[in-house]
Amino acid sequence: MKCNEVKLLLVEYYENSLDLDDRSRVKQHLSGCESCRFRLKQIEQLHQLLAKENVPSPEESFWTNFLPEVRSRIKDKKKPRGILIPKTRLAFGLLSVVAVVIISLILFTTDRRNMVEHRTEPMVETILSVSDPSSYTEQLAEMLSAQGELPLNVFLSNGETQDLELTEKILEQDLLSQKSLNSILIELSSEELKQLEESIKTLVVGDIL
Amino acid sequence: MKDEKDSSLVGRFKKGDEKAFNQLVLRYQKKIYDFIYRMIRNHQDAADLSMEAFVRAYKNLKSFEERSSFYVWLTRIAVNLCINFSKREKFRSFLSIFDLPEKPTAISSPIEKIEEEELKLAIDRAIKSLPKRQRISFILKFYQGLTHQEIAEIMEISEGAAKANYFQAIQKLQNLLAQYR
Repeated sequence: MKCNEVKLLLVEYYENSLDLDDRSRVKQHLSGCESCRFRLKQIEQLHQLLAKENVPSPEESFWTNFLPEVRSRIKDKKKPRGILIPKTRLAFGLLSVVAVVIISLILFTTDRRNMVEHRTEPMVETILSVSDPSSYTEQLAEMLSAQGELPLNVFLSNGETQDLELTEKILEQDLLSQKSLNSILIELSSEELKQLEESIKTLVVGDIL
Repeated sequence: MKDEKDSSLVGRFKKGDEKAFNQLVLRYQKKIYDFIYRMIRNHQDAADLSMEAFVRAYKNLKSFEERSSFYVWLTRIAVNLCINFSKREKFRSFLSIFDLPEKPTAISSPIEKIEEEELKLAIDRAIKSLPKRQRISFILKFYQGLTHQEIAEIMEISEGAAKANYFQAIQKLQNLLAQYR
């Protein structure tokens, strides 16, 4: 038997767990090999060293209380104590709070962005899509002709969605020419502005179109 | 009077005899505690985990199919608890960097006591430094006296792998504890 083979069997040889054949072969090898005898000696010394270790045994009261404690845990389905130290619980708690705050901020920011986008989109579309504003008035005129003349405030409060959309488009178009309208309004005196305001209130939709 | 066999106690428990479980606890409490203590080297946690091992055994005993012996099955529960504990320990060690260092205890014991303490500490460190599988194999074989076959069953590895783990553990410990021989 070679040293490499014997080396792997020395622990079992020392612990007396080899079968008879292997034991006999190892013994024969050891009788003629100093280095393997030295390795065996090392294994023996390690075993003796580990056996010297004095592991403190719990007090008798620990063993007396062991079964009642196990039974108590079974009854209460207690979680093991002392595994999670308060510091770890605190760390987990803090991490959870931070995570909730971060998620809330992300959601809130996303929500605001969505609201802004939602608000501006129709206006952008309206502005960009104006190519022939007169078509809006014609459309509205056609729709309203069937309804007859209506005061503007009644029209606006009772109007169908489509009516209101068209009206909005017309007004948007007017906003685009705001420059000229503003310059006109600036020219008016406060008394003239009041008169204009009164006449708008009593305005009939048919008058505009 | 001969002790009742484990399989008989398990059978009685499955039929509703709670006292049979108590017998099993009393039979293996010291062995399980000893194994867990040697794995984690701390009395308070070893006490906690060894009780938890029996609580888990109680919860799962009715579905235990007895493919292995009760003790091997119970030891497997203990091994898993130790593995999970060591993972939490690593996280706990990370948090402990914020701890204040412990005050050194006054040395008033006789020299023999100091040497004994030093040796214990050295063995502690050496065993803890073993890779998980080697540590488990070593403790189960060396201290618990289980066979390689039983260890292989517990660790769900081959018998050859269990032997190799043990052999490598012995070699490492020889190197780590060379100065104490």
